[in-house]
Amino acid sequence: MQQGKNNYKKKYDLAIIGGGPAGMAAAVRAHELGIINVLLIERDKYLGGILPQCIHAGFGLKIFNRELTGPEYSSIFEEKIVQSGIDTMLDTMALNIKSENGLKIVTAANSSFGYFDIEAKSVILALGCRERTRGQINIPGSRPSGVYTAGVIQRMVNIEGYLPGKKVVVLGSGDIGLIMARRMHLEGCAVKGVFEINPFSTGLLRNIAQCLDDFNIPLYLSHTVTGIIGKKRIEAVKVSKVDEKLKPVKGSDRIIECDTLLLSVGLIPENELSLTCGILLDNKTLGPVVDENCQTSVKGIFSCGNSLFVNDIVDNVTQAGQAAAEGCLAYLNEKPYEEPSIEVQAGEGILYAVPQKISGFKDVTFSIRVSRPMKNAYIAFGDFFKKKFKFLTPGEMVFIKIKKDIINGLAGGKTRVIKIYTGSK
Amino acid sequence: MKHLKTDVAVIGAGITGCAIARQLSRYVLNILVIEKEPDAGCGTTRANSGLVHPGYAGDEGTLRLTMCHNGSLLFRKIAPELDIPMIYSGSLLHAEKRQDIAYLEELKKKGTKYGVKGLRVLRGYEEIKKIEPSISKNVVASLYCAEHIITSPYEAALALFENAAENSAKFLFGQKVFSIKYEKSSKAFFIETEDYKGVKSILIEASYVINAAGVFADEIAAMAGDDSFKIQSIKGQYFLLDSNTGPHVKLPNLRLPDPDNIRSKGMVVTPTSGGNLLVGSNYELTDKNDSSTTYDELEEIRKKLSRLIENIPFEKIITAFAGSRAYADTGDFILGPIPHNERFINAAGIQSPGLTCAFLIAEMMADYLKDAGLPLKNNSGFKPQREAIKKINKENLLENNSLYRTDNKYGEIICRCEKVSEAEIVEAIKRGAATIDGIKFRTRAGMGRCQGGYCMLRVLKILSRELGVPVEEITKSGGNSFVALKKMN
Ligand SMILES: Cc1cc2nc3c(=O)[nH]c(=O)nc-3n(C[C@H](O)[C@H](O)[C@H](O)COP(=O)(O)OP(=O)(O)OC[C@H]3O[C@@H](n4cnc5c(N)ncnc54)[C@H](O)[C@@H]3O)c2cc1C
Ligand SMILES: Cc1cc2nc3c(=O)[nH]c(=O)nc-3n(C[C@H](O)[C@H](O)[C@H](O)COP(=O)(O)OP(=O)(O)OC[C@H]3O[C@@H](n4cnc5c(N)ncnc54)[C@H](O)[C@@H]3O)c2cc1C
Repeated sequence: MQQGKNNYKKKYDLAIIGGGPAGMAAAVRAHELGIINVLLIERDKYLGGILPQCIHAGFGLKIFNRELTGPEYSSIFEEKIVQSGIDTMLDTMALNIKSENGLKIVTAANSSFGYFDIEAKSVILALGCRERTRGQINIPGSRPSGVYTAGVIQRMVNIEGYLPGKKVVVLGSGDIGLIMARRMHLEGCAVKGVFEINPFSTGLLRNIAQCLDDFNIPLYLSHTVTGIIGKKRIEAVKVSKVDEKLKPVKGSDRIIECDTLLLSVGLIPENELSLTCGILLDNKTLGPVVDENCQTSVKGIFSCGNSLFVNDIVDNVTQAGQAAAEGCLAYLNEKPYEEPSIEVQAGEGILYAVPQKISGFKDVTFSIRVSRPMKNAYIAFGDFFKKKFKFLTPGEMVFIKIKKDIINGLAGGKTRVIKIYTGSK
Repeated sequence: MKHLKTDVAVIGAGITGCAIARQLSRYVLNILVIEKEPDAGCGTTRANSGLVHPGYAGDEGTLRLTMCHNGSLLFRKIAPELDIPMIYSGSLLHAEKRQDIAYLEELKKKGTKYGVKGLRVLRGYEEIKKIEPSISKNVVASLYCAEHIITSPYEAALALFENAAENSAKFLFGQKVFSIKYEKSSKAFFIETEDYKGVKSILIEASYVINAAGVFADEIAAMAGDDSFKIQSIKGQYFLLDSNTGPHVKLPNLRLPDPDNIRSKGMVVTPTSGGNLLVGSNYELTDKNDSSTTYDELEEIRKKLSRLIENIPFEKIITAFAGSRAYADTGDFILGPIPHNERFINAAGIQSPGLTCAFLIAEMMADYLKDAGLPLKNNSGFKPQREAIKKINKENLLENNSLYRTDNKYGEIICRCEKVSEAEIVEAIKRGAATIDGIKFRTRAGMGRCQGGYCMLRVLKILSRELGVPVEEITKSGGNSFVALKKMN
């Protein structure tokens, strides 16, 4: 077992990039499946990805039936990795991947070995995501310190042990925004409010209750930050109401004093590394286009977790990592690989559905995100499958399993496109 | 109160002040540069189009026109000594209306007169598209200029700062000049400064003063009794797009100024020396301290430039910023001693093309000092060369092992977007970076698409470790721009 950076082999059957929950689950599952020669590469000094900084409870209800904290959840998998003796390189950044004659060359760097190549028969990308920034959502104003994304503040507070400020405005009411609003309140900050541009919160209802209501933190729907004020350090923000088109309403703005603006305005799958070897990305998920085995457009390279699409809960990420390992086994076994020739399209009311391509010869669980909240609606697959829902919201991913005989039986297996769409009764 | 004494005090460490300090460090002199910000190049020098203009634009009879071409020649000569990035890109200036073609011809004539070579007026979409494939069909004619150069203005200022300091010029950062008194008997200026909290602690005695204070140069001149000019701040806003978007255009694409503010150079869509795409800027009168961006103005920029260039990838915006043109009411650079005291010399009103002319202005300042009686004895130890921080080779990664063998911190990647190693960050600190922005502008760590989301806290800790100061005392850009407020218990 090589924990840390003591040594590495030149050749592996499987290299997993990213040691968050997705990568750890993939590594453990690969080991269980008998893929022995596995390397796990993580750029941070520890495994766990985002989990070690999520010290709140709320992880594992689906898989472990209990509410664990991020570090607790992570340690379950870290231990398994240690036990199974999977080669792990920490503090190591994968920088490039080349696919040559079916082999993958991963170039990585660390301070123990410098820059080096690793040859792998297959690769699983479990790179996580990055946060949308102020610049990407074009908040005008000055450029002082004190404007940070939620993840930066979470790491600053929970890992490094520093408080960014005392008077906080939160922009974005997804779960991360809600949880961080509570966290800042518990650290003694005055949380002036959570502002949300949509007329609804994408966070879980229980999080609105437990993170805001319990502490009298106001939630302002249909509001956004339209200006940042302050020379060196942020002194205030300008907030405005927005209309149905999400455009600021002139004259509705007011100034709120603060020394910290916490941005929780969306996550973007991280795929810089995927792009180095020309993996095709989906412009909706911003992650790779994959088949039911999680295989990307480059054969032998698989993707899972938040770098494939942004997940709501970690349990799903763990399962996605496991699925990627299983897909990888199918590839390594060199049995005839079922080519994904059926295209899956997102239609009315669907933001995206993954996988985007399937073979039709396997049961498939689709991960589906709707584009707006809906009541008493259904999700349909072409004209052959329909499932009803009391409530659908972009904040909660829907999983729908379709049996292979349903797909395969369609038009004698001649179906080449499946459209997924929503409708009301 | 601390008392410092110097031969020459330079006020302002923008490109102008730094070029002057470097020029003066060729001589045996005590030089002290006083700057209110924590680093060199934090003012207008940080926020402009970054072009070395060839010298075809500007009103006849102005220094801005007559100095520009020679300024650019000197820039080209000196920049390589200092490892300042330069891309010989050439440029296109576009006209959307037929009646503007005559104006392009006029500029060509003007430029040729001042020595600009290779100016050509291109007519018709097909002709222009050969040079700029992303051109829009709205463009009817363009002035092609082979002599436009893309540089990095803040890297230029930092290079000059480093080289001047290496040649023993002194820099006093974080100190704002608030009063200047001249003592006739001793022929000395007494300059008082204060820190960002307004604490007055330093008194500088200088035999000569050069005023290179950018938009504040009128206030500095007034402190010395020269109130002959006023400076207005004319803001320009920009979008900066991701570091892989630069190749969307081949070269700087300039837009003719709007008829209502012909004084501006107009807007531009250009690659930067770092590979980004820069899109800006407008022309609006503002308060001197205002460098904020605004929604409406950025929209205007987006609209106008989308008429010139097809499919600008605005979805890849990573940040927006603004810079202030120091527009003197004379409409021109103000160079030379103030009326009643030849020992106080202005380098004021340095609006565009101030970056282009910085080296030339610096030479002129040395001449003014000489005229005022300051003996300029050559500094035999003067080292003209300065090398940029060695960066990671992103194309051929394994080649970095030669760097790695000199320092294993080259193997530790700190900035994931721009691929900046710990070795580069430590080197930047050795060269004077003391803030998050100081690291960013020297190494590009934090300049990429995640805007420091990954590296900011890592950089913070390295700064704290290398400088030996607690994390909560490190700032983004001086003053009270602390990153973390306090350590939790
Ligand atoms: C504030 C917050 C609160 C949350 N709350 C909950 C909750 O209550 N319940 C819940 O179930 N879920 C929650 N989540 C979601 C859950 O944590 C994520 O879905 C999950 O961590 C995603 O796992 P991942 O492995 O895909 O990505 P990550 O955890 O981000 O891991 C990716 C890893 O890959 C590494 N990596 C990336 N690129 C490279 C490279 N080139 N070389 C080497 N290593 C690399 C990264 O360093 C990182 O460690 C929360 C998330 C956040 C941010
Ligand atoms: C939008 C825009 C685009 C431009 N594009 C170009 C271009 O493409 N090419 C070109 O050649 N030029 C261009 N310019 C012009 C060029 O940027 C400027 O002429 C040049 O940067 C001015 O440098 P400076 O050193 O004089 O001023 P600054 O960089 O502003 O430096 C002045 C310094 O003085 C300091 N200071 C002020 N008051 C005090 C005080 N009381 N005490 C201590 N320190 C003080 C400030 O903090 C500042 O650092 C552009 C300008 C703008 C605004």
